[in-house]
Amino acid sequence: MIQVPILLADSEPSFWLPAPVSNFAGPIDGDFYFVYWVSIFFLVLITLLLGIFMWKFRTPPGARAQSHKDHHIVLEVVWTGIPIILSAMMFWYGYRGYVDMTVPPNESISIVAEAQKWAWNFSYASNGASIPGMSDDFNVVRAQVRSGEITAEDAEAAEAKILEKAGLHVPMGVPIEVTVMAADVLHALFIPAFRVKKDCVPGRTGKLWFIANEPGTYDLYCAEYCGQGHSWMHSKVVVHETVEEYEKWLEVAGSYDETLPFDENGKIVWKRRGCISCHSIDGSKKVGPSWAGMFGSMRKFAATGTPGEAVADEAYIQESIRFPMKKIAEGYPPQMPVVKLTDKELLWVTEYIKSLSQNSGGTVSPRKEN
Amino acid sequence: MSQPDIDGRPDSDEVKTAAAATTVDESGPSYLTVTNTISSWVFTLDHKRIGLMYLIGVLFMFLLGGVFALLVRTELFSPLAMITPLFADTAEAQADLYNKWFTTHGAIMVFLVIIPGVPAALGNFILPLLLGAKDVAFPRLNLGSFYLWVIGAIFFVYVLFSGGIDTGWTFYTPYSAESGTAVIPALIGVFILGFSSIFTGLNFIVTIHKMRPKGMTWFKMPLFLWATYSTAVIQVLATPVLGITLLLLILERSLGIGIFDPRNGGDPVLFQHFFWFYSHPAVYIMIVPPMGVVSELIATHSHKRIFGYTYIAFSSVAIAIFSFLVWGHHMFTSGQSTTMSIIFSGITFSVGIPSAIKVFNWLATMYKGAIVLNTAMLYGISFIFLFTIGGLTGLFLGVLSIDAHLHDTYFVVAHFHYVMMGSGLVGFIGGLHHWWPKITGKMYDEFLGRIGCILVFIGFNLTFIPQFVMGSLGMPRRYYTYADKFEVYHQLSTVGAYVMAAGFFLTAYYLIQSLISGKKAPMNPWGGNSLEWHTPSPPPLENFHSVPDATDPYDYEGLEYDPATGNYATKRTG
Amino acid sequence: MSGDKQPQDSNQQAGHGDGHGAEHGAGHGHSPYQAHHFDTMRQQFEAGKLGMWLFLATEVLLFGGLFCFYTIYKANDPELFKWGHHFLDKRWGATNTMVLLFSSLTMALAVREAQLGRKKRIIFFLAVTFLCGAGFMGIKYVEYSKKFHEGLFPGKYFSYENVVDAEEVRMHQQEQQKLAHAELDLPQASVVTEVPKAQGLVLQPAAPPAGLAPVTQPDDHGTASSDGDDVGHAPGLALDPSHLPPGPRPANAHVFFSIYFCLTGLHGIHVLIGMGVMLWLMVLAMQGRFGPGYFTPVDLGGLYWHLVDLIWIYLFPLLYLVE
Repeated sequence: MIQVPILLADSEPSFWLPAPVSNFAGPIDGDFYFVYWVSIFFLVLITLLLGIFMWKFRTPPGARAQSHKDHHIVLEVVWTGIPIILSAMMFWYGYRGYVDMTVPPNESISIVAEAQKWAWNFSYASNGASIPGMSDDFNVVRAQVRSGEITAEDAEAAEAKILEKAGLHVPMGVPIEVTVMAADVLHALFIPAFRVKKDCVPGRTGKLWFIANEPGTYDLYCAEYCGQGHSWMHSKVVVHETVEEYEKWLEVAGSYDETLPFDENGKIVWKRRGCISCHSIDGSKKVGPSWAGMFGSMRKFAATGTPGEAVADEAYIQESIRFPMKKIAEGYPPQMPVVKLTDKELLWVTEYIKSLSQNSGGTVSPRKEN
Repeated sequence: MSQPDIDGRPDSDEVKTAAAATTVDESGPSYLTVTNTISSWVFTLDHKRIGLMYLIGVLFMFLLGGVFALLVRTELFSPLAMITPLFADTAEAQADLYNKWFTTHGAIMVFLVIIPGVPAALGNFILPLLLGAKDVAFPRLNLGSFYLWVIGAIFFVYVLFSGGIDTGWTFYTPYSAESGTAVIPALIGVFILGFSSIFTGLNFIVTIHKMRPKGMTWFKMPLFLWATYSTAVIQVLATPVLGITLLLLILERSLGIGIFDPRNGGDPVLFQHFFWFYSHPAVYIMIVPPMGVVSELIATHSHKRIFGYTYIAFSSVAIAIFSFLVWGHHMFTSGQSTTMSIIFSGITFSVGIPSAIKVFNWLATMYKGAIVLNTAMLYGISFIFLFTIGGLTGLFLGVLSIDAHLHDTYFVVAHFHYVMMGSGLVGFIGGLHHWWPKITGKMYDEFLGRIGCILVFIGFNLTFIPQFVMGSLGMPRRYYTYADKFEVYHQLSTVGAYVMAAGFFLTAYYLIQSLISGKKAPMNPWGGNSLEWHTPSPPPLENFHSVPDATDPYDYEGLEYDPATGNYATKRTG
Repeated sequence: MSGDKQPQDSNQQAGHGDGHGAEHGAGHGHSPYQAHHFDTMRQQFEAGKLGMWLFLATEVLLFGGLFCFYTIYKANDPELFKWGHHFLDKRWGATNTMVLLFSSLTMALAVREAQLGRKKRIIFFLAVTFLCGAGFMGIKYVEYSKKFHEGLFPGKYFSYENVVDAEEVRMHQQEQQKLAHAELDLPQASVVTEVPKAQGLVLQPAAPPAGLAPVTQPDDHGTASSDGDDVGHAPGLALDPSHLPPGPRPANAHVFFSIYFCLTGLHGIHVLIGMGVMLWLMVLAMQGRFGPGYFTPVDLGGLYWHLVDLIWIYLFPLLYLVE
């Protein structure tokens, strides 16, 4: 079993900032505190002056001012010049730090992060593995802790289990280049502990890179409003202490257990590849039609796609996954993104969908407990 | 004349031949009482009545936007669902509802309250008075602006009744192109409000250019006019770009033209460029007029000449110019080119300098002044403190490296509330208190006024300082639920929101009370020397019984306070 | 006093109310057209003029956004414009340009006549300007209806089907031509050079984007189209193959028409508004209001009309003449 480190990193979070665990955190935190202390200085200065003046020069109505001096060129120069100099310094530090963040080193490990409503998927170039963010499963654990159903220790263990086959995993000390993409609307990949963020723009690719400095598990968020599930896209980053550990994890995580029945693997595909975001398996209506009882039924198609009707057979399922815009189920919006499944995943999920017409039920994926 | 004209203006040659009076005749009807039919209000061309109607509308919309803010903050008190289950059954519907709440709050506050705010609700009233003029240059256009605002507000109310919108007030594509909510009516409403803003700005520019009295050169104007003028330039030049952006978004939604939605061949980042090209200058529309108010507040209530007049005047102009050059600082992580980001960051710092100059000049004005700590002055002082925080936190966001971390977190939310609300709205309320006697002819309870100001100040800081902290700790914005570690910050913030609300309700209470039973306001309760203080409170329909010559608005030496009446009278020149 | 007897102001439509009318009569010492809040006619006139220029600035910025749309897409994809402009008839565009230029002349003459107070001539020139505007809109109608007939609507209503159908017919025609030339046993030089072009057409027509529907992919054209607009029956074609541009169809072909309709549509709306302004000015002129002391509405209306003309002067080459 892969040991997934879930302990907090050695670096400590401060009052203002998360523990600095990437190569950028040091410089960025340095820039932050420079601006911070300049700001504190001026805030204290201005507040003190305000307070002193309010106290010293307060009068009842009708009094006269003690002085009517209304200009002083030296003062104007000083309080214009000093902010200019400080601003220039701030700009310069920011510019330097930013330029560093835009050019990944040549020897980076490449990972593709694809955002969709409302799930993450991470693809690793080295072995083609496609690993989901599984934010939904994390949300279930979080809800269970809050409701007292499980203890904090159980939650840690549950999260570690999820992370065996989910999340953004990277080795420590190696440059990681993440290409970010979006399948539908704007999203953004944000890892506060690393101080990195990049918008995922549909129709474009973006890049961010970092070197993780400490092993541990860190938060990964979506930081660009994307609708209903924006705050649910909360996954995790795992930093492995050694490259070997990382590679071992990758091998296991990217695999499917091919001894399992097709429909069981299909259920894993349903979760891993994000179908769960929009398609329920218990008949409840989400953004997309429920899979319960769908296979073999007569489907009506809206005019937003090619109108008409047809039986939902295997060919229909495969076409709907490969070309989601061709036939739009009546009563649903034309919003399904193209999800690139491998042939095996396609077969498994088709079998799973078929299985949902033979028996009823399935588990509902809870989002936010009441 | 046996009866007043419906517009009440005496013929100009009558006015010219009237002797300039040293004492002002305070008898006779005011603009409020001269006629009282509904149609005299509905069809009024009097800038004071139009300003008053705007004021009522804006304050009502502030209440509505505030209600949504309280809904949002109440919901966020816990990461668990708090009040959304009262209105929606499933977790998905509850999340959708929350998204609609924060969108509605933002859209109402930006487009219906803060942007019209000081210019329309206070500026309309005060501008001609400051100029010794009888009205603005185009009174009918002014009424038109008001009705456009009303129509825009009606569209927003329609949207509320149609289930609301959930796109965020920024309408980013592709989500806004595909959202199933009532986006197009909202866009039409904002489009119409944009024209209201454009025509107000146009009116003010022409008024200030062409209707200054004899002797009032540009550098003898009260600074509120410099601020209004700079803002008006922004309104006229930037708002049309919003108009075309919204039009194109409507076409993208309805026709799929392929400009902003990648599924139709468009570019979502192009939308952001178009949107922020207006919306960044727009935030200066929101802050520069309140800065103009603060100049008047600080000088008048310190009874001291404003320090650095020329620098403050030029800083308003500089802000207006630079505001057009920095829109890309909202897009550092969007994928725009590195070069552009660097340029935008550099110019962003230039925008902060003029604002700093103003703050120091205001402080210098207070030094050795005769400061009366009444409610209006307390709001002015609050502005300085809160704007300092707002402006300084903007620096963090302008630094490219730091912004990668802070963008789209609660740090941004706190920053813009400090500038838009802690400064913009506070300046507006300060101006409201400063000119309340002039507008209504009544004095409010100063004690309650100070309490209200302190409650708002404390509540505001309690609401938003925790947001800075959780933002830099990584709490993203527009989140319906959140990680447990942020809970304590959210709870503090929610409590602060309720304290603030209490302050606002108290303020509403004593202001309304003043209308019913407040003391009659003297002509010059604060001892100001700009022209509005040389006419009765409230003014007659024609503003001035005799057209005054320009005064030096910051010369307070010629005024004598009479404690019996609470009035500052002009000393008789011997 | 009726609500109509309001003091004057100038709004963006160069509007002026009834001013004083009969009830005030003479004896004020100032023009009956001077609003009470102004001190002199000169001040009023200058205020109106400044206001109008400011309004024109807003119009420039409004159209500026659309020109931005144009510029960015042209910079990213010049082929799109090279392809699209073939659908626009330069002759109609040039005619419209002449019409508007002429109308600006007649508008300027109307202002001159208003300054001189010659009522009949004012109305005449305003009427000619109005008719020019009507002529412009008439030509627009002709152009638009041709496009709509061919299925070239903006956005998702753009008929890729018609374009694809026409492209396929043209491809067949060109292949027929090749075969005919081959039989003649003449030097094949000219035919050989034609083939690569035809191949380029056949192999790479860009597929329309997924967000627009219903669209057909070229490979399953025959099955998906339900309207019966089959390729084999040439007479049923909405878009004549001879109208097609010579080059390959670019990706997102519909975006050209989005830009075209947005630009010309918004401009057309402004022409219509201008025509309304002309009518109104004619009414005011008929009331005998204009003379050396007061001609502001005509002057300001003229400014607006000139801007509408100027915008077209930019539109025409950018859309019709780009090569």
